[in-house]
Order: sequence, then structure tokens, then C-alpha cells
Amino acid sequence: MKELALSVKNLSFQYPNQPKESVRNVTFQVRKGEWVALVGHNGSGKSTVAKLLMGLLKAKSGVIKIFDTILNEETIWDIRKRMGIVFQNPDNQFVGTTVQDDVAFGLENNGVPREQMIERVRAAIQQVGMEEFLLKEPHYLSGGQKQRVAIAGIIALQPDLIILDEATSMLDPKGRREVLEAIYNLNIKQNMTVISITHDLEEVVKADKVIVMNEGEVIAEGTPLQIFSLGEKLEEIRLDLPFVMKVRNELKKVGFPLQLNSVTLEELVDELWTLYLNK
Amino acid sequence: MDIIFEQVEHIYHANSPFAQRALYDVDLSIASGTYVAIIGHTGSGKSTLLQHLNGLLQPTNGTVMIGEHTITKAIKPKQLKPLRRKVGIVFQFPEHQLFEETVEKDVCFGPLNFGVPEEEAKKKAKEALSLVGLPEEVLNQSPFDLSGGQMRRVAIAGILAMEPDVIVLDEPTAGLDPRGRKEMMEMFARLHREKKLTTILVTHSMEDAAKYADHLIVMHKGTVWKTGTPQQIFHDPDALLQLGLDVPETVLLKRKLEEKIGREIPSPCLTIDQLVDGIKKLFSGGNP
Amino acid sequence: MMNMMIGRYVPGNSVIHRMDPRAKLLLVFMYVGIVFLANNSATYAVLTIFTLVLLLLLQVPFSFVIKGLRPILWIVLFTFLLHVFMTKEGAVLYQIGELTIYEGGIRQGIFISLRFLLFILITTWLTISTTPVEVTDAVESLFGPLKRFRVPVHELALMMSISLRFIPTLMEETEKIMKAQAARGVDFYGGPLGERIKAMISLLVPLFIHSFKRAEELAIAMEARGYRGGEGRTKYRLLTWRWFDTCLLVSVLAVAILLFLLRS
Repeated sequence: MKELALSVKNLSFQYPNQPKESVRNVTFQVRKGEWVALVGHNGSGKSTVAKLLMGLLKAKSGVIKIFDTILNEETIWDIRKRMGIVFQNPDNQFVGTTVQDDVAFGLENNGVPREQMIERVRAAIQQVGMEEFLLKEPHYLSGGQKQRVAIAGIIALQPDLIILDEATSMLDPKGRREVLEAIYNLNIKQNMTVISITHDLEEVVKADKVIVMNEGEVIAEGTPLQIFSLGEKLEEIRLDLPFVMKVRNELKKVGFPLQLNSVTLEELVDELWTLYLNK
Repeated sequence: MDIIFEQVEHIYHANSPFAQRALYDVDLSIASGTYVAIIGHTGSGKSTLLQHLNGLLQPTNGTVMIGEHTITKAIKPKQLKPLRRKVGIVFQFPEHQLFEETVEKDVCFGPLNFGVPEEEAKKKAKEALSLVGLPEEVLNQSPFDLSGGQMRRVAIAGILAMEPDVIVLDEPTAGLDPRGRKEMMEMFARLHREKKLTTILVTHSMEDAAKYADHLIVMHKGTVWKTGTPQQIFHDPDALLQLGLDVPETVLLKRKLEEKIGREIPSPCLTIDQLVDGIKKLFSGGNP
Repeated sequence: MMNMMIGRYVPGNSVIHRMDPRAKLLLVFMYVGIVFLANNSATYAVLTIFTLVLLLLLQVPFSFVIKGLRPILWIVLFTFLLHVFMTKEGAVLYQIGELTIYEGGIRQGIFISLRFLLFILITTWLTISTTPVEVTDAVESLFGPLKRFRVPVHELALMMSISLRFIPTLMEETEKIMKAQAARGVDFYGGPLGERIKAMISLLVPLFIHSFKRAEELAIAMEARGYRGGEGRTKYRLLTWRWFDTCLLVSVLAVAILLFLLRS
């Protein structure tokens, strides 16, 4: 078993003036190098969990442990050095006047010497494929490009863990693909630990583990396939099965003997092809 | 109200060094009572096009005819106000336009601007709220105390209360969760059916375009690339993919399967049911 | 809006573009001081020539500079006429009915409007060659010593740069909301006063609410990225002072001495 990157135990939180807790007794773990997806409908409490993890909100009870460090007021700034978060709205997290300034912002805050900064900014921008845009101002960028810059700003800090808090929900399909690809590259190629928060189950197909939240509580946890097999239960909590799963279910209903666990379009096509050859 | 575009061109900042041609040679017609989807990627001219539908923008050349209104560059903007009541536009993230203290006042805002008497406007507001599926209790609440999805419905009610003949929807489901998206699209489909509203949907979702629209308009680089029924447009998925556009996932699956197996699936495959049906037929046919 | 050239940066790679923004800012301050030394034809000639040389060094088409002046020309003309008619000095040149125009009036008119023109030219010189961010960096660096007196120089500079970054975003948003309200029958360009006020409210309320939300989200994002004030922060942007910067400032001093000698 790989080392624990994050462990959350019995986490609860209540916003002032709200009748009930937005996060109730949430417990989960993330191992180093894993991609964990936290899913739930809008208002299910998943984004509140993200803010709690970053210490941007203070939990009512429960323990958050990042590697060996317990999150509290004394460790908060150290922990923020080790974790990065990309938020939903591409515009409202772009601080710098140009792409390079924005990527450098986090490094400046952490007092990184200038020579190192230049190297790390360049490397991070390259990793998200935005090197042509180094000197561009934000209003010349698309939403997807701004989100990639936000990701670069975090990579530059060389964190142990990245949280993507609905980072794709305001983007068009092209922007969404760009950002998902950047996440995928980070996780697979750089072995970065990633927590992605989303209401779109299409985006979790490649995750290692999926945690489902509803009304502030964790209601299911497992591999994407285990979660997809919950079927109608997901629709009850305002989520929707990925397209491939829907097609599989319909095909099974009319008697196709689908056995393999194909979750992507390509896998399903291959499985159907095999069936076709053997019919 | 039929909508006809003839040789429409729009240049932003015309006659300046910053001139930018956003639309050219646009010819199209939308018959009264149809449901049309406009697709194309960001920057294809979609949003410039839709602002011509109620005279927010005027063509720098050519003619836009909407019912008995004719818009050319010569028309004074003041003359376009009556048209705005007939064509309601729901912009992307419409909840950003809310500003009144109560939901009722905000929904009444449009009708009052067009000279509807207050009592009548209030009646219309109530009707509009029920059309978008909100309970009457919210009338006296502040729109800013509602959830994001509810705020969006209030903003849409504000457009419906103007009782337009045409409704234009710019990415109405952006940012909503799957259930929210589905409910929103079903709501517009119902309005289209029951109120005979001419509906013009601007969307990135090819699934929605295929499922709800009678007719598609594909925009590319500032002009109309192709128009037709969903079946006609998605019959040739490669052409769309080459433009960098998506096709419905059902069509994508069909295409990949056809490629792999080397036989055609005899179905348009615009919905999952059609797709499953098509695959069934493929499997029941004899070997090639 | 697009034709307003004052305050508009024109990208380039001239010696002036490459100057340290601090030197440029200092130059403008010094310039504003010495303009008041000029009080006769010789001194104004020296200043005008110096200014023209600075503008030539920009290597930007002169039409850019002229375009920037156009909106202000009528103010310059007005200043000129005001002095022409109000100054009663020197020989009488013309007399048309009640109006008498004196030689001193013409001279005063030319000098004062020229002074005004020079001010505008030097600011245009600064803004054409310097991005707002560079100006912000220069301000932060030049006023840095004030930190000792508890002036929040870093915070003010950061505020300036964030405001600059959000100007295009807010303009876009203003346009969007105006369009959305226009689609609901709002007329932003006419109508009786009451309706106009209502129109403004329908624009300003959403704009404010949205800006607050933006500011809040931005603050959270900054905190998450480790921002906690200027303490212990390093800087990515580096200002480098070159010999050319010193030279140019020395040349301003030389002009100042020349003006001293030539003024009457």
C-alpha cells in the first residue's frame, strides 16, 4: 500500500445561519499518486469539503491530516505550500496581469528566490502547454486556457496534492477537454496526487477512486465501475450515468451478453466487435 | 413570426483600425413555431448572430426580417424597442441580470418597461413563475436568497412574462448539474410545445441539439456552414469533426463501430434507443 | 473609447520602451517641475525641442501622438482664447468693437497653452512607452521607503495592479448586463429622468453584487495560493537601472540649468 497523502476523519461543518450541517461526518483517504474524484450535485457539500481541506473554512469537528501533518492554525501556511487548488471561475482566480505574472504569484508569496522562480514558471507553463501565451493578458485567453494557467500556478509550487474544485464546470467542451487532459497528464505522467470535484460522472471514468456525496454525507465510495453500477440510485441524487454506461445498460436489456467492464467508448466498441465476430 | 436573414454582415468597430468582421453572407430563415438549434464553436459568430434577433445589434449590411419588422443599418435603435418584447433573449448565466428586492418586482420589470399596467404585470409574473416551476411563495422573497438554479428560473420567468413570440436561449444549462440541465431543457421543450414558442437554442451540447431541435444551423468562421434537420447534419459526422465540432456521442459510437466492423448501421442513431436498435439490426444481419 | 490614445500603451522596443519605469516616472516628475521655469521664447523653445527629441526616441508613428491630443485640443484652444481676451499688457494689436487684443495677451496665450500641451505630451510619452503594470512596479519601488512610516505601499501597489487587470473584465461585464437589460426593454440612451435612473439601477446593482462576489472569490484564491501580505515576499518582476536611465535624468538636469540661464 502506498503512503497516505490525505486522511479526513469525521469532518463536519456548518455555515452560520444555516439550519443544518453542510458537511456531516465525512471520512475518506487519498493515497499518494492517486486520482480521487469527489462527486455530487450542486449543493451536496463537495466544494465545502475542498475549502475545509485548504483551511479556507474552519471545521466544526473532525481531523484533516496531510501526510504527517494535522491541519490547524499553526500548520496552515505550511500545508498550503504543499497543496494547491483550482477553483470554478477562471476569471476570479487570475491575479496576475499576464500569464507569467499569474504563475509566479504563488512563488512570490512563498519567497522563492527570483532565479529559481524564472525556471519554475517556465517549466510549469510548458507542462500545461501555454508557452506561447507567456506574455498574454487574461482577457485574451479562453476559459480553458485560464484554467490551465491556474493549474500551472500550482504546479510551479511543486505541491504534493492538487484539488480541482469544479474546475471544468464553466467551460465549453473544448476547454473541458483541455483541462481534463492537463489533469490526466499530471496524474499519470507526473504521478501527482489529484482530488477532482465534479458533478459530471463522465469526468471520473479514469479516476482511481470515486467518492459520492449527497446532502453533506459520503454515501458511496469505490472504483468508477463500482459507482456506475449503482445505476438509478445516482439519478435519485441528481447525477447522471456516463454515456457509455447508459448504452451498456440498454444493450444488456435487449439481450447483449456484455461481460467486460468497458467504461470508455473505445473499450465498448472493441467489446461489441468481439461479440460480432463470435456471433 | 418568421425570421429571415438576407446577406447579413456585421463588422464590429466598422471604419476604425480595430474593425473586425464577425458575420458575413448570412442567409437563413426560421419558420414560426419551430425549434432551432445554432451550433458552432466559440468565436464562430453565434453570439453576434443571436443579438441580431432582437435588434441589440444591427447588421452593417443586409437585412434581418422578424415578423413585420425589418432591420437594416439605417433603422434608428429607438424603433426597435417593440421588437424586443416579441423576441426574448435568455443570455448565458441570466441570473446575473437580477437586481430587484423581490422576485415579483424583478419578473415584472420587463413587462413594465414595455408599458404593461402594473396589475397585469403582476398577473403575468405569477403565470411566468408557474411556467418555470417555481412556487408562488418566492414572489416576495429576495432573488438573492434563492439557490443558483432557482435564480436562473426567476431570470427566465422575467423574459417569459414579456410574453414573447420567440425565445432565444444562449447556453441555458451552463453550470447546472446533470439533473438541473435535464429539467431546464425539458421545461423549454414543454414551453415550445404548449405555448407554440419559436425557440432558438444556442448550445455546445450536440446531444441537446439532436434531441430537442427540429432544425440545426451550423455556424463556422462567421457564416452559415450548413443547415438541415439533425438527421441531415449528423449524417456526415466527419465533416463536423473536421471543423473541430463535436457530434452526439451516439453518432460517434455508431461511426467508430462502423469503422471497426466495416459495415453500415442502418439508423440515424440520434438517441440511445435508436443506437441500440441500430446495433441490434447490425447483429441480426448476415455476415458480409 | 477606442480612439482615446492618452493612457494607451503602444508596444515597441525603442530605448524609451526599454527604460526603467522608475526613471521614466522620475523624469516626468522633474519635467513637471522645470516647465514652470520657462517664461520666454528661448526657454519655451528649449523645452519644446527637448520634448520633441523624447517623442522621437519613442519610435512610434507621430500620428499616434497627435491622435491622443485631438480630444484635448479644444481645451488648449479655450485656454489660448481666455488668455488672449483677459490679458491687458503690451501694445494694442487689434480692436474690434468692445474687444481689444493686446500683444501680451497673444504671448501669454501661446505660452500657457504651450505649457499645457507640453504636460500632455510628456504624459503621452510615458503612457505610450510604459504598461500600467510597469508604472505600478515603479510606484511601489519609488515609494518603498515610505513603508518605514507604515504606509502600506505593497498593498496599494497590489490593489492598483489587480484593478488594472480587472478593468477589461468589468467592461465586458458591463456590456453584458446592459445588453441583458436592454433585452428586457431598458433604454439606456434616452427617456425621462425617472426611467433613466431605473435603467442605471438595473445596471449598477448586478454589477456591484457581482463585483463583490468576484472580490470575495479572488481573496479566497489568493489566500489559497499562500498570499499573506508583503512580508517575506519575493518579486518576479525585476526593475533594472541602466546607464541610459541615468543619462536621461542628467539631461533633464542640463535642460533645467539651461532654462535657468535663459529665463528672463
